[in-house]
Amino acid sequence: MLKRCGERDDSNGEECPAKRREFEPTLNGHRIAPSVSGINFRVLPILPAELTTFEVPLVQFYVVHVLQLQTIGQLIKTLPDIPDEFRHLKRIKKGMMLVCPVHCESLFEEAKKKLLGLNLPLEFQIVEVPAKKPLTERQFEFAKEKWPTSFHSMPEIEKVLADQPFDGDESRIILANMSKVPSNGCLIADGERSLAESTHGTMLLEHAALEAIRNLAKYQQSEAYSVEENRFAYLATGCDVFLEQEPCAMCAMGLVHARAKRVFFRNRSSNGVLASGNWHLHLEPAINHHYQVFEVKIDNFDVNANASRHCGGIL
Amino acid sequence: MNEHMETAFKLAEEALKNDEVPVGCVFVCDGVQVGQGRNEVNASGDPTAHAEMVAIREMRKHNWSEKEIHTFELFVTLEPCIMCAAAMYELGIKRIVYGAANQRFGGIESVGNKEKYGAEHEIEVNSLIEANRAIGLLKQFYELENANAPEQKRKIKKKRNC
Repeated sequence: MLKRCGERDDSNGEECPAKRREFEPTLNGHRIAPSVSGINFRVLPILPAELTTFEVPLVQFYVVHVLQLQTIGQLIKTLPDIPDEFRHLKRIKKGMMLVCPVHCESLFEEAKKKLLGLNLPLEFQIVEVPAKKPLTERQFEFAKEKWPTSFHSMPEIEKVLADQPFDGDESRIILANMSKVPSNGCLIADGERSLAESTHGTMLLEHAALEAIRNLAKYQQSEAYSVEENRFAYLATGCDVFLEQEPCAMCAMGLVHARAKRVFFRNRSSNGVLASGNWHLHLEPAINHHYQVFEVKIDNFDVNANASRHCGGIL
Repeated sequence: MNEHMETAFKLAEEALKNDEVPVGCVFVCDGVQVGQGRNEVNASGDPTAHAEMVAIREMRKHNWSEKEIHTFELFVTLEPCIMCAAAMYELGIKRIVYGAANQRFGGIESVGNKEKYGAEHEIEVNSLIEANRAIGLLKQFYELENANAPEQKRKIKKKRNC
């Protein structure tokens, strides 16, 4: 689904032009093999299934066909309230009005009795309608074909779901930051500006992400910072975090406490909790802050074959 | 009450006096207190400076053997958060005794747990030892914190079910 930027398109032999032009001059770092002429990389969002699916689940509802339009007002007053979980649904579609979900049998019987008591020409039918409010544009496209529904677009999510979530400039910054990450380490950046970094150490619980957060705190409390910065900064709010290894639960939660905005990592970890394993900490609804997570795949990157595949370095 | 838990509460009270979230902890090795800490997030500006992390960072001075670490017991006033709990599984300590559950971030059983972290190590857990005392301290902290905050207006929605 995501296009590999900078990759050759075999059909016409052309490359994604913006990427090649922008990445070459900025990536002469020691970690890029010198023979590389263009950097092929992909940034893959780690998202919950409820956002990535194109469809929304459906549920059966009773509808009543309104055969005389002038009776709509009278009917609406008679119909029961739509249950809270289906409040996203609009009441009326082309002469049809929602009565209640099919599984609410007693509610339907009561409503039917009241409606028939009006002595109006009516017909009942069962239709399938979206059981959940659509969360993305493409889900909305699917849902509205079934039944009119409310929808609130989330621009941040739409951006991440797009084939190319980052434009040329942002891609360049992401790749440049990623290339600055120390071996087995972590970098915290505000846009192009590096604020703090660290590597995994050998002392107890000396993991790169937690140490980088500590270094950020030290920097933010330093005089240098107060002189340089004239804006209010709270922890890593609005900052991006770049990691060689997918963080473990300790580090991933530390990044929640630090209020990171986005987390980018290159390698999956055996103890990772963002993409590996059966729990995705950044998608845990009980936690009060959520950052976006991306796995960055860079071809021809001079990968250290001896690199740890474990957050924390030493096992 | 357990003397180690008493020390942990003393540290939590000290945190409260210093306008920090009142949580304190003690690490015990072979019956002897070998480390202690209390929350110091606000003073340090380090959001990871929870009691357990503060204690462990202090304990780095000593070169602990893996064998010693495996006998560590943690006495803490509040259920460790996901970060601190995952840290204890990584260290592979023997036992955790905590005062009250942490519904927001608890990493032993409230929100996170060892299965979620993919941890294989087993830790013996004794929970809710002093729940009222631990929660009482937290309440004092949040009441102080919000003394000047305007009363929130809450929207009361009529719940409709079928």
